Amino acid sequence: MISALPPLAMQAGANRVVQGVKIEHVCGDPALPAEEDGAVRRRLVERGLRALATAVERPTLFEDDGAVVTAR
Amino acid sequence: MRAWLGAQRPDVVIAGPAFAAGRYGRACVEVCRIAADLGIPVVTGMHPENPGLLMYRAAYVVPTAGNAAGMSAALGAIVPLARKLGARLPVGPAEEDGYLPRGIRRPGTRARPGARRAVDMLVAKLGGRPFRTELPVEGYEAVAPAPPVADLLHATIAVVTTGAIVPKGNPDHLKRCSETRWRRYELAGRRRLTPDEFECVHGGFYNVPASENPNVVLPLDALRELEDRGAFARLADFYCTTTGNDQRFADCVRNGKEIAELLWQERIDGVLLVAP
Repeated sequence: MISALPPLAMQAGANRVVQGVKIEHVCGDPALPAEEDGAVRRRLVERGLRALATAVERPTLFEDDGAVVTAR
Repeated sequence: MRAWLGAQRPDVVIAGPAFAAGRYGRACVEVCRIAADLGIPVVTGMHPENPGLLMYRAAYVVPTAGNAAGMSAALGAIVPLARKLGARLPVGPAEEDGYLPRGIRRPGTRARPGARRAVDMLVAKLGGRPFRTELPVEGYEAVAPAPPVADLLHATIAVVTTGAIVPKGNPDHLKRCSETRWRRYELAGRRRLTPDEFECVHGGFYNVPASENPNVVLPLDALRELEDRGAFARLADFYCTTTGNDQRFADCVRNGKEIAELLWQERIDGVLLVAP
């Protein structure tokens, strides 16, 4: 899941979570020029795909630098 | 917020009521956390299914209706508790003082032994008579994680969103809130979603950015790019959507099961779910 509110998503049981940008534009930033906005979107989707291919045992937040934060 | 409350030092803070608005409920609960941290009494109100409740269980939350039609009832319930908290009087158990149980237990003595109470409860349950549990079980259950996608390079990926992205004109009349259904829409090989063909009808957040560029909630352009680059084999040529705004828990569960079943039939290996 790409969510604007990961703590909420993880509390509700989502097991693979990526932090989105903002509620109004989860996968992008309209304030940026189109190409940079697109790059933000691509990076988020890539992180989502990485999460799909990663084994998890509990709600887990996948962070940008490759680090992984798991819920208790 | 912390600086403002610290400067004001109010006797009591009332946040909301948020009714069923999930993002508002989350904000209210955050205010409760900050105020409690500053030692300022605080109370909020929201529908018992508001997901904001998940974030800080120690908040005093008065249960309310799902929308502002319940405003006067909500305020009628919030004010006495706010007064009590503001006067720093001891607060009784949840049932007595009209707030949602916080999962905090205080030792005490009941009139009858536990064994007697348990048997009476069981007999009532077996006889189909009403009974009241002493310990409600949590609503959100842990979901066993699916095993990882074994071979991403050869995988079929689908995208789903609760952000209510629909064909322009909203032909199926997806509701802005309290929607019960979900919908499948064909992508027909599109490389991106454009504002003349799609829009965002979600009523729970400012949906203009998503209507001006629907890809920010349904990232089709990025997915096509990654498909081209071979990050995965194939993007499903449809997506599923519903309105994640004041959707009843039972409907969420059913919609999730039905969407999952569709994706299973379509032999999807992995799903990206985008939730504003």
